[in-house]
Amino acid sequence: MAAGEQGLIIPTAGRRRAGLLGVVVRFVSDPKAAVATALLGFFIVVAIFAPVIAPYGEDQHDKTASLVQPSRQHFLGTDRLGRDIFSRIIYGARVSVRIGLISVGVAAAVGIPIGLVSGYAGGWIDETIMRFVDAWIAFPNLIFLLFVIAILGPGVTNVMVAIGLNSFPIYSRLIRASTLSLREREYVMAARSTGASSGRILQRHILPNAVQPIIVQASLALGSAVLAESGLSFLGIGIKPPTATWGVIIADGFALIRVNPWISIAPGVAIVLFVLSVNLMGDRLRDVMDPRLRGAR
Amino acid sequence: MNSLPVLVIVSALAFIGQQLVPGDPILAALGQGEVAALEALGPEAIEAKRRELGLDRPLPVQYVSYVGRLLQGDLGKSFRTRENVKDMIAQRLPVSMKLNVITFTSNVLIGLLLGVIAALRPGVPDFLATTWAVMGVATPNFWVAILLILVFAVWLGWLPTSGWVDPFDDPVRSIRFLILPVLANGFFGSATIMRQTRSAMLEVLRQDYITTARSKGLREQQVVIRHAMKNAMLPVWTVIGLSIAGLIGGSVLIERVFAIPGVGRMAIEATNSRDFPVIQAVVMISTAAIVAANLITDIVYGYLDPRIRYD
Repeated sequence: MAAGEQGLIIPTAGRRRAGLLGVVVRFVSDPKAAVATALLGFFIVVAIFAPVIAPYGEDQHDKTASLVQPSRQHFLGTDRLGRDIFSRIIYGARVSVRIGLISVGVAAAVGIPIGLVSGYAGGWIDETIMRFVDAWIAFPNLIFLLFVIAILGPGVTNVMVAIGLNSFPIYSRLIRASTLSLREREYVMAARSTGASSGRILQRHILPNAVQPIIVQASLALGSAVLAESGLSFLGIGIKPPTATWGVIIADGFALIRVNPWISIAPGVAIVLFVLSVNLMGDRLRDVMDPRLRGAR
Repeated sequence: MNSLPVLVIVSALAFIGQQLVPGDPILAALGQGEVAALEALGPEAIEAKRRELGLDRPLPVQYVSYVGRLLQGDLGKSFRTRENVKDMIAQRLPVSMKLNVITFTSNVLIGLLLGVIAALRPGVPDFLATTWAVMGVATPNFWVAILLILVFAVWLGWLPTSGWVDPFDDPVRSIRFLILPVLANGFFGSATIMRQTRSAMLEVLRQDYITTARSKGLREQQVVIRHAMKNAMLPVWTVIGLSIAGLIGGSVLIERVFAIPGVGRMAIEATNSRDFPVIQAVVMISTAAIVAANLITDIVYGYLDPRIRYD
């Protein structure tokens, strides 16, 4: 069968809209995905309106309220400096969601062009780039993050760059696989025969049709990014105190585990719920976007 | 994956990384004290030392010499302590290796056992195992470690909160120190192995030859172990191989929580002080471990499925 005959995606605006609506309808028809979406929406609202929702400031000290147990005034108690844990977790959502989103953006921005060039050029260029990508993947995640932080130093921006650089090869591989197949399609050959430049073909004809697996991957990567950030912050090499991130709060609470275990427990629950919600959404997105997976156990 | 190019590229990245660290490379080579002494003698002394160390040569030449030193086991000196990195690694690597080998073995045993149970017993065990797999992927291992410490060390007082006893020095006592780190670092790994085992077993148990085996009157145990499991192991082994990278990364956090004196804890301290030779060595050693694990995985593929041959 010729490449062009295989379930060709015809890039017309009308079809694309109908396809998108179908995806949305199928997506929300799953109760798990609906709950996960609502949960993620909740986290995003909390992150945006943190200063309005939080009863106390992110780093508001109150020496008279040091190590207070959970109470009406302090829902989850306070830490040694008298900072309200509940408020810090709310502010933590802000940092974690932002780092997650931007690091996914960094990974996609680096990985997509590399994958496009690799798949479209083929030959030795593809071979060289893919060996490089294989080597990049061989780094254990956390060791790679330590390596990049050792070069760049700690801080919010550097953590986002480190996490993005750590995960870009997945995007390169996915987009390369799609590009390898798409470059043989008739409409790409037609564009080439009209004299369109490689850059234009990649941008206008290949990328829009290769983006579907990237959307799924990006949603799954959001959870991994938040886990990575929390790990780095817990180790004290990501985002430094007093900035409230979930990892930093867990680390603060670890030293006080016998006094107020909630300081460590509550931000962990937030991390698990956030990652679960994006993972469930990503899984559902993959199911509805890939018809072969529909109905699979 | 071709192992040699991976190691060459990773060593190149590690080398380039060193060039990107802010500050004069001579500081990295000699340490603050010696550079200060040379500075007192004048800029010519520093330049002479730079020439002597080869730091004035082009970067590709320096890279070749770096690889040559690596091959001879020379990992340089720590910026911070001026200790030989090779000695630092030699002291801590056995601890991390023992911890990771024990965690890996326990992950495989727990993952396989629960995966088979989940596939054979639909209903509550299946639901619990699947829920655990979904949770395992979403839960940070360091947080699991803290919860385990809270329950088993702080509240119940059954196990120590932290510390390390070498299993070869005192096997019985070491178990008490190993249980929590192994469970915490294995929470994710065993969950993924379990999930893959369950789905591979479900796939295999639907096959006609399993029905034939049952119809021959074979005992269920024989059907599961001899017929189903052997064929279900190929995809499971892929996941087992991939879990090793996660295990090595995860042990950094676990060593921090349980104050285990391994390579991971050393890597954290090195990152905090931007002690790049130590980080470089950790990167190279962990990549080599993963490359070795991939090679073993490939060899085992051939054993599991004799049709797989490598040229």
